[in-house]
Amino acid sequence: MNFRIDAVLPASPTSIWPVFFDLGRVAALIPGCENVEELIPLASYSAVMNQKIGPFKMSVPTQIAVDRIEEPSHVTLRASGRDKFTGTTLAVLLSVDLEAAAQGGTRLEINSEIQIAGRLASLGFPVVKKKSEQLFAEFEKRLRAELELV
Amino acid sequence: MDASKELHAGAEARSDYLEKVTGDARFASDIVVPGMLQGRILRSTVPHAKIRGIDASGALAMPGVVAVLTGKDLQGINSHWGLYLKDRPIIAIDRVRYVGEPVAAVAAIDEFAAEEALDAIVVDYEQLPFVVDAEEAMKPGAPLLHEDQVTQKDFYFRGEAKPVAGTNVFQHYEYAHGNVDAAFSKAARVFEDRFTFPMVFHYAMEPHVVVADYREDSLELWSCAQAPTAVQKVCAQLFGIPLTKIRVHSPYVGGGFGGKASVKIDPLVAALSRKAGRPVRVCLSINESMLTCRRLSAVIDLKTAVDDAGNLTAKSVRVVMNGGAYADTGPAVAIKSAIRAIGPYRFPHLKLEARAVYTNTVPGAAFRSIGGPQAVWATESQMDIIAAALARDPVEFRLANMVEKGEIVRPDLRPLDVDLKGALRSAVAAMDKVSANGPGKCQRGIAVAATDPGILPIAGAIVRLKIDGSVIVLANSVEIGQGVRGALRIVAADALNQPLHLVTVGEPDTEFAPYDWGTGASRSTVVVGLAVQYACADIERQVRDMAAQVLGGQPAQYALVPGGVKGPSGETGLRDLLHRFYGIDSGEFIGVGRVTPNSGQAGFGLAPLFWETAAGICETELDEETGEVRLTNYVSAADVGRVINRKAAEGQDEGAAIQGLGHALYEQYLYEDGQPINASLIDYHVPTLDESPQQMVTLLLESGDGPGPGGARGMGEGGILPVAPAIANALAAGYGVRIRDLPLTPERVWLALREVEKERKK
Repeated sequence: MNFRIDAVLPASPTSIWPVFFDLGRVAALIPGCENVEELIPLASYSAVMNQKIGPFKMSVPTQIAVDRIEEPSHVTLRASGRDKFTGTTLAVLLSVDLEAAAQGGTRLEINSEIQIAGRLASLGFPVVKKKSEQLFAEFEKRLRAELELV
Repeated sequence: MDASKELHAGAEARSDYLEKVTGDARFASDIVVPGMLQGRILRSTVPHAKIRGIDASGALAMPGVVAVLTGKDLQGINSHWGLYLKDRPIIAIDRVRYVGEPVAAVAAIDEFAAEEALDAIVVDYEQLPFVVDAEEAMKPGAPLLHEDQVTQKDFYFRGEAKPVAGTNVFQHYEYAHGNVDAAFSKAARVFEDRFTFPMVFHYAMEPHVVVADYREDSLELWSCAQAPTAVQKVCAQLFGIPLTKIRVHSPYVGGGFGGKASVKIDPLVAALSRKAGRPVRVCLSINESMLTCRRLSAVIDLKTAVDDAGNLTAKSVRVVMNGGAYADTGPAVAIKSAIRAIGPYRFPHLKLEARAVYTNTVPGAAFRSIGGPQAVWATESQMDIIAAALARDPVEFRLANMVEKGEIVRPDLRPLDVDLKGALRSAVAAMDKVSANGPGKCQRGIAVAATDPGILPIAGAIVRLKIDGSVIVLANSVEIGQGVRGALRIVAADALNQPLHLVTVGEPDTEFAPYDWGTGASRSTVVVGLAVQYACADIERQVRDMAAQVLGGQPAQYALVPGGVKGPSGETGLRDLLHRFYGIDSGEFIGVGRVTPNSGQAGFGLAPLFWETAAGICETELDEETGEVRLTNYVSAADVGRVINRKAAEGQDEGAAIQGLGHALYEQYLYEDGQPINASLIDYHVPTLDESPQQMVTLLLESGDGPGPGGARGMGEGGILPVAPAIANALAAGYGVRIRDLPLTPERVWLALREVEKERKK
């Protein structure tokens, strides 16, 4: 599943950039994302994704690795995890691009590839897809609200 | 064979009917071997990934778990197998290529313990880019599934795949005669159309099941496989065991349709038994069978030219098939799809091209009339498009362009050996009669097909005539529900002139029955039936010789009669004859029959051995509010040469048509994000009795000139072919809706209807 956010924000890239590196702040924007820990600064983090999909409650211990950083314009990160109970695996590739807009402010582009695999995906993909869309929509809503404060 | 009616009066040729309804029939899943464990399979959850590691320690620590097989256990044996390309590991080694690929297998004391243990195995994947669509997989830069393509020549089918190095194309087939480009430029009209056919599931009632007992220097299997000798051959190659030490039993199989053809899970179960050191039974769920194999989907581009008089002059066929993660028999399917797209028509100029392509999906495999439904869907839809554009009646247009019996479709193939025009006319007449009795508000559509079964003339049978007149037939033709044991029983009873109730057909067993290529391609009644006939002729010769020696006279003066032999001095019982010959009250006659390329008066070397043809006419109703199509009446006609067992033959033809109805209206695998999202009985729909036609007529025409026993020709596959295009043609004729993609779901039909409405309003 691919998701994308495009936005033009009034603040400059350098003022928006710190938001994406305050992981506690970003995690709070992701519904169900808890227990964020920094393992290696700017490189490796862990978190737990708690979600309820249909009748299933999932708790996915997730490893987050930062693949590439170009301050203050680009970051790529990967997240992966597996729920022991449902055998569901989660793999996310997320890229964030910030670019100074010609008319002022910042053009924000977030691209996300999310792969959910395992029994849940095989048996209830439409439900999983819908839930993923809801989660991403909620994330986008919260992120926009957060960035407006910058 | 008319005399057989009296001889067999009151006897049912198929003993499996009673065994199945009473629960006495023995299937592979019923087999219990002392010390047997139960196996379950952990499958890849991701479409394409490297395996960084597998931690099975948690599973091995669980109570009841005896062994866990992973790719690391394949050291010391040949790890990869295949029918055309040696591309498939027994179990994933360092990479997975589709969701559902076996990654680990657990053997435990029962299925519950094995299933529980699967959850305790942790696989560490490094995900790779994946591709699901065949045309996408052909593009430069597409994820490559197999870096090396090792072909096997003349291994299972004759010939060799032609992969394109450095790409996902594992088969590229081309053929041409005449000059299509010149013909297109001279043509009065040229029609170009693209059709698509989705991946569909075989949906046998019995999922894949194998019991394997691997010993130090031998292997014994009870398998649902349709080709036990192929299982034997592949396992011998993998495990380095002599063929004579690999024994494959074939109990009743609960439907195959090609999904159990060649080899499927046998090597994996054998490897698990090898690891566990004990016999292991693995019985998949239907959901798992859906992840084991399926029909190849296809995109078919047709370009067809006609002259001023409406004669077909040239045709170009371009097929791209989605072969999934492993080639299996896909290379043969691709070739057949191109050939079968010709149709039973005359083309002075012809060009065929087919590619089969690896993708990160369930492996494609043989399925009832390989490549046929895909090809016929395209060709017969286009025939109606052309007929409509030329304002010709679709039946008359087909008849005008159809080859006659004895005329060639392609110079290198046997001339058409049936009167398909006659079959089509018979079908039309039958439908006229059905319609006269019906509601009369339906739309009619037709389609025909001529396919060249890929039959290798290699078969054998042993027949034993006992002292008491009872007979046993030993052959490796697998009873997959098609009634082959019943057909062979009739053939043996007729050939030996013995009552049907005294003839038994044994369970196939490679240790005792002779080599046979496999059960499929409408071949068993013809080639194995002939082998049985030849074996019976061998017995008859022995009986005559013995009678002449014991009773006097010449061998030619003797003939078999029920329970004995009749000669110049009257009838003598078999018991008396054998007693007098051996000096004790014992003995038997054993006949061996072989079918080879040299068999048959005309020679069996020329392909196809026979043409399998079909004519289908449907009448459909459409709910214009919902787009739901209903098949109201259906007539299927085919020249089968000679009917051996009418009830079973009609069942085969009707079953094929209903399977074709599923392809036409309901069935398709759906993929999202590399995940097959409807691979379960809840989400994948096949026709129910409610959705079957109200009236169905099967015409089995008997020209008596086929190559098989009594002039029989193979059948059982042809009936699936015309259904989808006939229904689509009915929709086009009745509502102006031309749909080029299957299945004809209500949503697709409804949207097409709205498009037609919009066009009309313009």
